[in-house]
Order: sequence, then structure tokens, then C-alpha cells
Amino acid sequence: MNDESPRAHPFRIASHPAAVTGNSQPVREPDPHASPLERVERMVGSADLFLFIKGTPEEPLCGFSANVLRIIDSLGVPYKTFDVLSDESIRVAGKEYSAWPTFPQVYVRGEFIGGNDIVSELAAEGGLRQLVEGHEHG
Amino acid sequence: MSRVQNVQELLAARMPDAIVEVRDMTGTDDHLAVLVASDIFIGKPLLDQHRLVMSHLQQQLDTAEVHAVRLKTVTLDSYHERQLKEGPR
Repeated sequence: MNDESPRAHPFRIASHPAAVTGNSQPVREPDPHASPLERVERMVGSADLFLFIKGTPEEPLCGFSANVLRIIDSLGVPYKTFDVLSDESIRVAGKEYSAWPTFPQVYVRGEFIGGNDIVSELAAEGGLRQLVEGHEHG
Repeated sequence: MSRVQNVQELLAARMPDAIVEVRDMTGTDDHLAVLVASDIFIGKPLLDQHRLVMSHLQQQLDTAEVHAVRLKTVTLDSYHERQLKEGPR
């Protein structure tokens, strides 16, 4: 498997604007008065494909996060991630926002689609690409 | 009682029509593979199917008694098809 696929452009946004990396459009500086839930809402809406993960795309700190990253990378579309281990308030708010108890969490155009199991199953059935590219299910 | 048994019994009690199979993935009794077959899933999107099962496990996940769950949900028909394909375990 080639993890250095030239089609994949993982971006990362971090809790501190200075730590934003990659060549995506810069993430708007978070309002310091925004609540964690508001920050979550802005983050998941900041890219068509957004992932809350444990660790970073370069260094995932959980096997499930690594698996989801591998699947998402294989789609070859840009995405952004946030490391929930870097900010406990976002970790808590992320669970509340999606009403989903675990990470990783994958969002497509601001809508929560699932964690590792669902993304794996969608990918295996070919539905993930359709979902990400915005086609209706057949 | 092991967590495997605990989760097994909890889900079986909450979802009376379901076939529930729980497996310890790591030998540490906190990474569980859960298969739930039930006709309650018919016509429901995958996310809703998983939400339903996860809602029953909320407490175990909140307290981190169970660190991770790999979940597979199927209808009873596809469960029996799988059994035919894979043979008895």
C-alpha cells in the first residue's frame, strides 16, 4: 500500500490557529468566547470532509483512527482533522454534538456519518465515495 | 462476570428479538466485537442501526469500562445468509 499517494492531501486544524498546517484555506481564527460546541460546529463545517481523530494523520494514536485515515486517504480527496486528545473540551463537545460516544468521527459536509465501523462498512460496499462526492445512493 | 458476558446479556435483554454475539478482540476484555442481528434494523440507515445498539452500551462506554466496540448490525435474514456462507462457528 502506498501511503504517500499524491492524490491525498490531508490537512490538519488544531486548537491553536498558529498550529494550522497544510495548504488548505486557513481556518478562521476561533472566537475565544465561542463555546466548545460552537467550535465543534465550526470545525465540522470547515471542510467537506472532516475527521475528529486521536492523534494526527502523520501519527494516529489509536488503531481505529489509523484505519479511518487509511480509508479516507484512499479516496484521494482533501480533508481536515482535529486531534481530540489535544483538547479535552472538544473531546467532550464532539461526543455531545454527534450524540456518538467514541472517536474517530467522520463528517461529510457538516453531517456526522459515523465512526470506524460505519466508515469501513460504507467503504467496503462502495457507498463512501458516493457519499463524499455527493451522489445519491443507488 | 466478564464484560463480554455482561454486554452479551445486556443487549439480549434490551433487544429481545436479536441474536447477539460478543467476542473479546484483544484478550483484555475491553475491546469487544459485537454482532447484533435483528429485524428492528430493517429499513433503518446504518448510522441509526449503530446508534440504537450503542445507546444500550452508553454507560459502559462512558465509564470506559469498555474501551472500544467494533459493531456489526445485520437483519436476521442476512445473519442466516452469513451463517450459511461461513458455516457454523
